[in-house]
Amino acid sequence: MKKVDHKFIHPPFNIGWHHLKFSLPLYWEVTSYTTNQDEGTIGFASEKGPLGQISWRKVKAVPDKEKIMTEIHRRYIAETDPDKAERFSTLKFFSVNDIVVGYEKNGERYYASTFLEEPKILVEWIFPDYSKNTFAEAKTLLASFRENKPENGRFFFGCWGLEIHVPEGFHLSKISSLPAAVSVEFENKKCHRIVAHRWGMPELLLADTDLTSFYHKFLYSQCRFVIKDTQDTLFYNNMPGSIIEFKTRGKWGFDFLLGPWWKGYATCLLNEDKKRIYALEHIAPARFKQRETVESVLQGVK
Amino acid sequence: MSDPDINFHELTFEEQLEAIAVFNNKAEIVKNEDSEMLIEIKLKYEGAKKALAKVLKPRETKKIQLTGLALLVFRKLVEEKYNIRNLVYWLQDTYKLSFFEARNLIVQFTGELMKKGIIVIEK
Repeated sequence: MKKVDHKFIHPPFNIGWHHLKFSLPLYWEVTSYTTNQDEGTIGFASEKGPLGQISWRKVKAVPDKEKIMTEIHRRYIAETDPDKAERFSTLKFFSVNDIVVGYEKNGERYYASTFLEEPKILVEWIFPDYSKNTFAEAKTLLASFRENKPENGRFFFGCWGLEIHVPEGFHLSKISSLPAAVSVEFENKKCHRIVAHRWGMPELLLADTDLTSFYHKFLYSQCRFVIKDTQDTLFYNNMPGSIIEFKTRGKWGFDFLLGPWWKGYATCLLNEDKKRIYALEHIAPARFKQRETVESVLQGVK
Repeated sequence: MSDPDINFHELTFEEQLEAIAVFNNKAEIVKNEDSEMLIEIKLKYEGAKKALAKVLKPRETKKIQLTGLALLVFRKLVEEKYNIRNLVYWLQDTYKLSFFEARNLIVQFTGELMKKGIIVIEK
């Protein structure tokens, strides 16, 4: 059997998800998620298997984090080892910044928890196996954790290598996380939409076409009809790309046939070093002149 | 009905990564070029289909053309005997993908090759 001299390691992923903002340790990846703002979970794993999960939920009052963690562990060992549950009294606790970490002993699952006061969100982590080494990795995650507050009128969304800064008022409406093809859509109360994409393997996607034609084709598959290329050799941070003007209407059903035509401005960029294609679309009524640009939304793309 | 001699069980995450592919012995490579491969697979009709096949004379083989990444994956799996883990590493290194991006793509590709009857995954 042939062995590969494996060299490439993907840089650590930055996560911005509703109220949560943190960095994953090297090799860790998001493998499961829910999109609800008030209650949800994100799961992590690496090549070695599952590494834990973060969950969040809205609570009415300031919670007793230690008591909650102890109760969760008590119920867990009651299911897995009822005899041990009778002997169990409490977890041992210590802190990483504002985060309380609770563990029983080496080799057992352990917990961490913090409370975000303004949005009243209780954030909880469960990690599978406590030891000095495994905690060293989890500690980098916990130490990087911040509340995802808007900065300069924009909030951060990051996952699977896509890092964007979306204006306040837009909320997460759709995620498609196919391997090497991530799309995230945000919508505001007027139904204006901002859509960001990140594709991998550009050599294959652009094997028999160029970047602009590839993106035209993609827009067409989304019922977005290209009007013109306003700039077909955009260079942003040394990345070639193009700006495309398109029209679209409706979201579903008869809306597609009868809805008013809205105008969209799209930008696509090719990062040859990272082997990624990035794209950004802003869809709003034609009279709406103020459009989002790659400089403001895709700030992290270099 | 499944063959009682074959022991089916779901592969664990670790077993999946160590699995290797075996070329279907009913399949034959009829064209092998740098950018394209044509594989012919003998079809077998069983039960009621076998009786119908005698009357209706359906096709006896099906041809599958492999190009692009599917062809590369096939060559690595069958000709160079990569296991799934090494194939994932190769895809990661070639296209700068994360582990799970590469793994999911390889699982999709090998799944397609299995569905078409070209390979079988073996522990």
